[in-house]
Amino acid sequence: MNLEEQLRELFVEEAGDALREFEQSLLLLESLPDDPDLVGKLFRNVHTLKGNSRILGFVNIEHFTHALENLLDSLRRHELIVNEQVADVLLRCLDVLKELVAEVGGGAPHNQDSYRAASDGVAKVLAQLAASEPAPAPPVFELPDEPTRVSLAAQMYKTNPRPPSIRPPEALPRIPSVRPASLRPPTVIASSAPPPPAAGGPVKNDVIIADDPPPVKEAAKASAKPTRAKPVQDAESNSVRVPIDKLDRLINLTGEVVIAQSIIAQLVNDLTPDRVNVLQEVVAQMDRHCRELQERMLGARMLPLRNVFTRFHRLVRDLAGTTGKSLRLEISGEETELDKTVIEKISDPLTHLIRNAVDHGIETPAQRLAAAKPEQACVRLEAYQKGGNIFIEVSDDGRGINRERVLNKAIEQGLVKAGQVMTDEEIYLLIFHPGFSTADKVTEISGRGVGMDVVKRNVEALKGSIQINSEPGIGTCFRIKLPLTLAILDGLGVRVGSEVYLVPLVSVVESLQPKPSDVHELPQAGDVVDVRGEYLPLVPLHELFDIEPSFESPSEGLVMVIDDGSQKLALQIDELLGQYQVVIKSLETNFKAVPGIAGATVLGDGRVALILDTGNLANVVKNRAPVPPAHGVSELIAESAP
Amino acid sequence: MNVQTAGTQSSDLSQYVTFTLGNVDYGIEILSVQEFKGYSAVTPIPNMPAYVRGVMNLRGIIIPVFDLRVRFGLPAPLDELSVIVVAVVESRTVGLVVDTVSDVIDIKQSDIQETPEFSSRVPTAFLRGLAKTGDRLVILLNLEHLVSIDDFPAPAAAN
Repeated sequence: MNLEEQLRELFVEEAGDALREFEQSLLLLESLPDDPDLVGKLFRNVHTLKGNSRILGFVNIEHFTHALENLLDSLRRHELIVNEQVADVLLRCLDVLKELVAEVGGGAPHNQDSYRAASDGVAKVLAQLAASEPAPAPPVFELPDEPTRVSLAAQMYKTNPRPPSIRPPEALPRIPSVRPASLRPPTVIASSAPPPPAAGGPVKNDVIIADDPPPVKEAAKASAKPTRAKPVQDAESNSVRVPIDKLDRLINLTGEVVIAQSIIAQLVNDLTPDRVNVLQEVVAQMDRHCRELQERMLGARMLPLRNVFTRFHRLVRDLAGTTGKSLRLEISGEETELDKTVIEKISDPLTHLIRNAVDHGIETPAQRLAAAKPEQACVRLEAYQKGGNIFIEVSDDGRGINRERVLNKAIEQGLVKAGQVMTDEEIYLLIFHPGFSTADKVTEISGRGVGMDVVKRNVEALKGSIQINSEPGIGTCFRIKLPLTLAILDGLGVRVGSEVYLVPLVSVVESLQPKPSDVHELPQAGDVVDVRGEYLPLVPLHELFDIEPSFESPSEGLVMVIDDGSQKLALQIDELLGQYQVVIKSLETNFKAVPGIAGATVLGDGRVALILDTGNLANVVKNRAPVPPAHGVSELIAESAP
Repeated sequence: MNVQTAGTQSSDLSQYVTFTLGNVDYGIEILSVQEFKGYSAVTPIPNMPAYVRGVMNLRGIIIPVFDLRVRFGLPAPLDELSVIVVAVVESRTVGLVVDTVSDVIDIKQSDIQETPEFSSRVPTAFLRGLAKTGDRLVILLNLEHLVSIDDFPAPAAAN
């Protein structure tokens, strides 16, 4: 990667951070329109972006951010208050900026219409402001509370003989009597203040890049070639930013391990019986260090859910706009950490769940008032860790799932038989069925019966599960359970002949030893096992994988019932070894994907064990060639050569 | 480093690691060899051709182990003296089981003779050429093709 590409990648990454922060501050600002810190943050973010894009020659972004800065500047000077119109304009600008940055990062070119619409929006707000500006400015000093003002001025002269116009505006708001909302700091004073944003964020970037100015023209030229920057995006999603303190701890620990190792090496070199105790102690210490090192190393892949969660403020705001419902999003536990890959894939399901909650769960304001509920509905997003799992809950205080309606719809669509006895939980789970929707009409938000199916698929792809609680009239709660990390797997070790395989614990239902009379042979279709009245296809692993088993018959060995997501299978194995927590390693890195095998892992004794791909085993059984694998091609090179 | 400078000084000369299978010498380019390991137990992968012995743990990464004896149709009497040559082929790390590693030799490009046509059953794509050093004939292997995974015949098709 050359310097230019590196700079571009850095720019996209930093711009992404700046825009995320911008969005968060903006949404907060809507509820706290007076907060000067938030306005300052907005300004700084945009200013950073402007500075960086100027240096790298991204003219579009520079111009756009410059116009946006004018608007933000009037916010900062309290000439403008964040109302809904202003927030809308700012959000639209944010979308355009995201597009512009994505374009730099090799994405699709920005939408020219929305670009123009957003700049027009900014211009309009500024024009309105300019039109109303001259009128309110002069009366500032002729307000009814003249006496206070005079005494204030007198005080200021006493303490500081300079005319007030030179004082920075911050001095004014601190004095309580000047606080009334109608009163603005005089324009004269504000404009004479030095522009504060020049300090802070942007300086750092300026300094870094000023040492080695990049060829601006070339950068601009290169941005016209869209194909070139494609790998930038991939590189970004493959990298993790690790906080420096996490890294320091890792370095410390590595040092400890190295020290322990060298002590052991010395001890072993010159081992006398009386020093065995010391050796054991050091080995135990090393063991602790190694464990902690492993844990913290995995922790380096962990990111807080904050970035995913906060972007839903925007979603809920937009949904409130389109549905006409009054909504509030409550977030808690956003500091909960999850594996980076999980974080990336959880955003979609959560979006669907929130849309679903707003569209189906939450009633219209009129219905809510009629049900004696507060008009503003609440959607809660909560995350917490319990044991080795992360739970994410999406709940609403809406009408709850209509059990009868779901059941009737399911019977209508032939998913269940009429008269079938089902628990509430089972009925609720029907809504995850592809194509299932109770909505009578398809709206822009939901109703096609696709969203919930996606939720279930994505969560299952992350080795998680989903649970629903619902109370009519009180609300619904979707609880997603996810493993802490995808790199670690809970599995049951099984032995077949001399080989050990791991079966992911999530798909194991039970293990049992069937009676000989429970095993039935179906002609041309293999055997089935009778598990308490349920006939499950028997899959002898030794036949599937061509291994010499210890026991030919399932009634001598064991049968492990697994659920691959769509059906249950009875795996015939020789012995159950126990539960393991293992690090998953890919076979594809150096080899290739193997049907029926999800990956490999290294057991405590250093041996490699293969992990079964339970979701794919049924296919392997189906596609299995009846001929046993042949040996390699007989070739005579070795013998025939002299 | 020495290897590389030697290579750049006289582009004509390359170094090869030679090993034996049966009583024949084979050579592979030294730049693709990472290390040698004594043979240790590998975990078999189900439903693979017999020359894929399985996978092993090389300091935390899982690498496939190919048995060149089986690949070339020799009987495969694995013993404790068998060696695994760990090579990097097209950014994949693989292990190759050979009988013994013998030497590192310099071979001039001009001394490499193109592989003559064997019978059609011999996959000449595996071979880079033949080289004579002293009184020995060394068969130079083309690892890219030898361990290319797309070339693996399906178990049934190998018959």
